[in-house]
Amino acid sequence: MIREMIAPRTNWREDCEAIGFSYHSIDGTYWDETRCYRFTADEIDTLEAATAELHARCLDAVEHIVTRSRFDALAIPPAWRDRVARSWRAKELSLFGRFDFAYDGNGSPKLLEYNADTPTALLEASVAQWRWLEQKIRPADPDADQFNSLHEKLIASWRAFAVTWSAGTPVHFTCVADSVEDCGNLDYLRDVATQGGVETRFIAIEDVGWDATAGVFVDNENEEIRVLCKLYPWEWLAAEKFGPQLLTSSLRVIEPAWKMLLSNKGLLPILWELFPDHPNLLAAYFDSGRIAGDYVEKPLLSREGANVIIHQGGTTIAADGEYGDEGRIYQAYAPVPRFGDDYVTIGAWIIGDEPAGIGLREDTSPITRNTSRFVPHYFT
Amino acid sequence: MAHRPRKSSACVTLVLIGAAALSGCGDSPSTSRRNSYASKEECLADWGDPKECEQQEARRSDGSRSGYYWGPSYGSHGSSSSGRSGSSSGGHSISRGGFGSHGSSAS
Repeated sequence: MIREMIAPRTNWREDCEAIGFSYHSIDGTYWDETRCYRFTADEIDTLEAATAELHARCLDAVEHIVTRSRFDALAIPPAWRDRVARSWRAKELSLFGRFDFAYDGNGSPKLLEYNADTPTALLEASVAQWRWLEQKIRPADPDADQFNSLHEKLIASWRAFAVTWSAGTPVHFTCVADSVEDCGNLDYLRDVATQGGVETRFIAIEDVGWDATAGVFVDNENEEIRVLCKLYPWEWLAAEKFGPQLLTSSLRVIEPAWKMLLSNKGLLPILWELFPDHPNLLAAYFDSGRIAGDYVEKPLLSREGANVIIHQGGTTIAADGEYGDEGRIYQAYAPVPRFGDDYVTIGAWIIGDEPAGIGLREDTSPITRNTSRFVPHYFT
Repeated sequence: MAHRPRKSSACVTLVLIGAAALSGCGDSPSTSRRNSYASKEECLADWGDPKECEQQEARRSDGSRSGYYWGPSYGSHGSSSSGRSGSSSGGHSISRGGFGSHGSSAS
């Protein structure tokens, strides 16, 4: 795994915008093709195997949490535990998730966290970096490859979803309407769903209606929403005004409710408890003081690095945010690789049940945030 | 040396977003939207008029082709500009704004 500094395509902005990647320069520089990462095929095989392994272990962890009723540890509200368990026992399909790894090409990738409910940076990983590969790398090196079959696996997953509901059932896609990044990702999900034979509609999350007479959620045309694909966290839905209605309605939600257990940082100590010394896991606990060396504090529900605190060599590096009241976990610190002034984290995607690709994020801080730059990769 | 199977997509085609497609969901509330349908029958069930259902073709990554249909444009946020049918709210008590009090959710 090496970083290469390269000349960007002269038309990179236009190319990003042509695929709906309008947020390529959000917060300054987001998409950054002034550099790229080159892997060996063996390194990619290692990442792919780690992704498949951790997906399987996470499913083991869900079974454990549900059967042993470990919901307290994850601060799952009591009213929601049966809903989560029913979702798991019904084997409701999952579309996607993204594991974040610390990996420098040596040894085993270490799981930092699992974005299992509302993973983003999907359009850039699936489409933008593929077009960069085809336009920038492969003309000079036709054998160059990229770990990225996200697009066809997403379409295949939507085909699998579509046979689980009545023909012609539309899927409503929702997110916060003024979040350009969320909407870019959601629009892409709509695109691949359409290619998978799904009828799609958009509704802003704040426009979702509740028909108290019929006991169903409705769209702007007052038509029942039967299937809702959301980029909006489960724990937020559960805590908001319409949350109780989700407990009783027949609404099908993607991602399913059982993903609440995997998007929670409490997953990390449970994985370590179930699979101690696993090569892809870091020691993690619900209690402070059990890790002798450097460690990281993470709120159970933190997103985009918010309120993460790294304790390293007697110093602390902290990210701001509004999380932590719900509880924290403590994880052994695994430094992410550093190239020049930049730290890089590898996001490894699972689509359905299959590893499907990676996306890399760079930052001048070892804590990856929503502003961390997306850098393309290839392997030879 | 054995040839390794390629791990990257052979073809990536978009049918909704970007230059060749419709507006995204980040547009202003007054921007029109279109529904996509897997079949002409499903489009006609919503709109009734064959002239409102526009056939499209998507090429998949495996090279195969599949068809889908666009319905007509209509206003978002409940401002439908067409005669699109919907279940009546007469006698029903519909409330909105029960979700969305947080913010962006990317992770």
